[in-house]
Amino acid sequence: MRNVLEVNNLCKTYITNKRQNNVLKNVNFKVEQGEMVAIMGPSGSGKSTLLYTVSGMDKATAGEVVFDGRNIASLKSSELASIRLDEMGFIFQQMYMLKNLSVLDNIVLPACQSKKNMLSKKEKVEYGMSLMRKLGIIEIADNDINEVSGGQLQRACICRSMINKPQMIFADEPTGALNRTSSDEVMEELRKINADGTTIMLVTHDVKVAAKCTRVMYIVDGNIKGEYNFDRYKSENELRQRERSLNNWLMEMGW
Amino acid sequence: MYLSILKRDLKRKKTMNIILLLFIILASTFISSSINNMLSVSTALDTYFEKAGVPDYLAVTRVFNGEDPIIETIDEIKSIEYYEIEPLIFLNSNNIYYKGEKLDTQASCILQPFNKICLNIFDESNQVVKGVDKGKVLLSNKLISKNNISIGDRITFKIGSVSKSLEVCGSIKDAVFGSDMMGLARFIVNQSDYNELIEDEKYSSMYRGNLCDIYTDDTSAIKAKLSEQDSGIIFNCDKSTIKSAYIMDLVIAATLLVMSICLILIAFLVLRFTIYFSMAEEYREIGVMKAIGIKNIKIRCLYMVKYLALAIIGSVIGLFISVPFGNMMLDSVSQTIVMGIDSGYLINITCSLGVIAIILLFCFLCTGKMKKFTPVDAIRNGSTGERFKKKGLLKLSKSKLKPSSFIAANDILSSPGRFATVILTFTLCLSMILILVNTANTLKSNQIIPSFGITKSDVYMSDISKQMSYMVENGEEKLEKDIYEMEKTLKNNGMPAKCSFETIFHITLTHGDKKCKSPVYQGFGTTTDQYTYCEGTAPKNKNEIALTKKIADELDAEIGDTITLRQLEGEKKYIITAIFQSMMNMGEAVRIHESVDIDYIQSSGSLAYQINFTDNPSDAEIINRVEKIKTLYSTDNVYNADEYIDSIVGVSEMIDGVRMLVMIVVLIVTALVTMLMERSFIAKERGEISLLKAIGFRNSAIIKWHTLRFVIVATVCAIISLLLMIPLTNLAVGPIFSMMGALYGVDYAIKPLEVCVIYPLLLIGVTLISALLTAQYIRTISASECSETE
Repeated sequence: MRNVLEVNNLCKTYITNKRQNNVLKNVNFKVEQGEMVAIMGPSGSGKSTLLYTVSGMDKATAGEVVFDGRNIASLKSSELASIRLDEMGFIFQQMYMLKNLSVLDNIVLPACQSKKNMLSKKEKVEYGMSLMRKLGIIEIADNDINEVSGGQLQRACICRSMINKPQMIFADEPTGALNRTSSDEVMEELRKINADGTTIMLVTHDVKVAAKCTRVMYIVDGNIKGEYNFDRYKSENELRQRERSLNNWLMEMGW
Repeated sequence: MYLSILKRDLKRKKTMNIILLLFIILASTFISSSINNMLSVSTALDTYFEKAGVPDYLAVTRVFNGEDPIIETIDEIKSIEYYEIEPLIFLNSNNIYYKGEKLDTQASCILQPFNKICLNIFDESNQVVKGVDKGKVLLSNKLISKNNISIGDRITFKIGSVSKSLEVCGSIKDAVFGSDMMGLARFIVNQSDYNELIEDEKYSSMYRGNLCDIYTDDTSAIKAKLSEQDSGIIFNCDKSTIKSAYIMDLVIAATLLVMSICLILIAFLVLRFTIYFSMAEEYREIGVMKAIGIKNIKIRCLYMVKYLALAIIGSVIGLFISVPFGNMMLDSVSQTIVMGIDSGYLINITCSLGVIAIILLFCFLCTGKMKKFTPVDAIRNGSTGERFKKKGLLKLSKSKLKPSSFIAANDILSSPGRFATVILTFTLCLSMILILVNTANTLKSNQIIPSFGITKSDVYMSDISKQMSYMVENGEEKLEKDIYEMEKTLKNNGMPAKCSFETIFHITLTHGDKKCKSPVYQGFGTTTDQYTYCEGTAPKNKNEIALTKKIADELDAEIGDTITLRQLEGEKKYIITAIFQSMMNMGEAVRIHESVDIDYIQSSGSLAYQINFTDNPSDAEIINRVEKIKTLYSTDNVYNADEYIDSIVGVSEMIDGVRMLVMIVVLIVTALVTMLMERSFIAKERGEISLLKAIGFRNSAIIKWHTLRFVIVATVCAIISLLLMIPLTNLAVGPIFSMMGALYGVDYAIKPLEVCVIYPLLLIGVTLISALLTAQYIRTISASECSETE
């Protein structure tokens, strides 16, 4: 499998109140196409910073972030925006959407903005609706975002992240604001998307969520302390077992 | 604890607090300066007349053989408390030279010694002039600017055989003759210089006169008595007529008044917007405070203290800015009137205190909502308080717009209330400009010539001394000869034309027991059917007459009635056949048929020679011919129709100055409001901006979204302003034209290019630039802020 993402000696430093805060320190890892990687770690360890830096939302202080063969750490902000629009998808813990647009319009918005997406507007809308149908939220297409539940909204966010058929989806605690049922539903959708070939990297605190991924990276104090690899699970029983073994591994890591 | 929370709040919400502070400064500046100016303008004339000591009644008379015929008449009127006589000598442009050329006075002039003038004359800095040194002369600032005279330059008076050069030592504000519409310009000199200048007995015996200042409670008795006097009175009027001569200056002042009202409205709008906007940000915090058990009153006090602190700082800064800002606005409109009230600073301070009170009131009303909230409500409502409101109106899926344009349009349609402040502000701003532009263009356009009760001609030429020469017995014959010569000269110079002339007679009119004295116009070279009438038909016979509505009302007469004119030839009866309007004498005018025999010795004035070319020259050719005629007759007083109206109205320079001032103020206000609003929107929409960046929108697309919202709003405002333009112009300026005599309304000169294209585009352009520049701040917002925003 080819590497979709390759991170070499990545450093990220914030300066607050004239004090230098090294959030990421020489981070190195690779993500192969089709992987579903979870980043775990204690609060303040640099998980979200890592996600935002490797996805080009934040600038790296030093090091390389090679996405699909291009070092995005050296790209201009407009070039980064194009990559985020056409080749990446994003899901956040809070279900951010534009308040004045309907759910469907929010989903279709990145497609309409994309110059690489060659579909007609009608086809884009139809594709957005097909994604909604797939995720079981077609009935809320014309609703305003304040008229739907958190779980539905997060699934709508997944649809939005998928609209331009990205190579990779980045998700920052996608189930963090959801109840267990909604969380399971959302993870099931992400798993299906991954099974269809889209690479996923997510940040989570939830062992149940991480257990559904194919790899877990544990980050402490800006460094990747360890990695835990799984095969794709095939049954619920297998999942329970994975959760237990992941839990044990995390305990070893100092979780 | 309050202080600590307040300190942290001010620091944490720095951007919104700075925006709020700027809006408070803006509001305080506008309100303080505008209310001060409104009070100055609304009482301007009364205060000015009081300071100057303008008499209740004024008469300008001609002295024959050393005797003033009016004095005997005045002495007979018992209601007169007292009167004062000021000697004067009449001059015309042939008597006054500047740099070897005749001085352009455009009116008759009078020369007076300073020590005989009874009322107060003011200098440029509004101080009472105490005297004029020997060898010096004072003249009105209008004459000074019209002739580009500098202080220290010399003017030469040639009166009969006497020639004397005097140094211009300053410009004056003259309450009685300060307005162009009074038709007299006053030159003030030292008594000894005056004595020297009138030494030529032959001239001074012919042109000596008096200015009679009469103080009385019963001006109507004087008016009635003087209307019986057939000769000697050049001009007489009461204080209210003198006031009405300042109508054009009041048009300018009224502009300032309208601008002040608009600025106050804008100030309130932006204040309300900012306070409601910033308070909406606090809902979540309010909820948290309620949840942990802090009482409503305590929470309310916390916010009140914060807004009080900002209001005090903002109002004090605004107070200091309001003084120079207000003076700048007043200066542009007080060229002829002494404006400004003595208690100016007190009003500014009171207004600033008022702003603080208003802010606290808004804040009190806003925080009042919190009583109704449960802690959970407040937290759930978050920053918008709109969770359950239907939002999106447009559908991206059905729209042909690009995403940035679509989001911008949808934002406005979804939350019009949010843009209401901007819409109202921009509409007020543009309407203000359009009203002023229409007024200025109308006052400079030949389109209003019919509203002055005269006919439209290609060229107008004025020659006061020659025109005065017709005011003698058989003057009509001389006029006929001159007109014939003029037509011949013009034809010989390749400008075939028909010339005409308007002579004015001040004649007593009676209808039943009603009596008044009015200017009576008779055209020479025109026929009565060439003029515009509002009711009835043009006089066709010798015994038919047309009156203005004002005279008809004064005489209680209507079409079909017969009125009597007391002419030198005896009393003559005329049938009223038409009503017309004229802004020439504040609406007082009468027109008799061209065939009426009337001795020109009783004429009191005339208008310019009117030239109508018979070979239909183009506008450009007319301009060429104006220059040719200037050379032919060695005079600068040759005008095309637009210039002639401008010379009659005489405020175009001032109104252009005000137009420029209003435009600058309006554009600055537009830019400020746009910048502050856009900055508020960015602060509020930080989450949405970072989200769009995160999902791949470029900075340029997001900046386009934010800028387009303001451009759309400005365009909507331009359309609203254009739709409201005519009714608003009528509402604001109509009454002023009506006071001037155009009771049937004026045909406004609307220049489509200016009102539909230039000014709306200017407003949209300023909005676009301001929004675009402010929206650059969006670049500093990072896509990763998505994780930080609540």
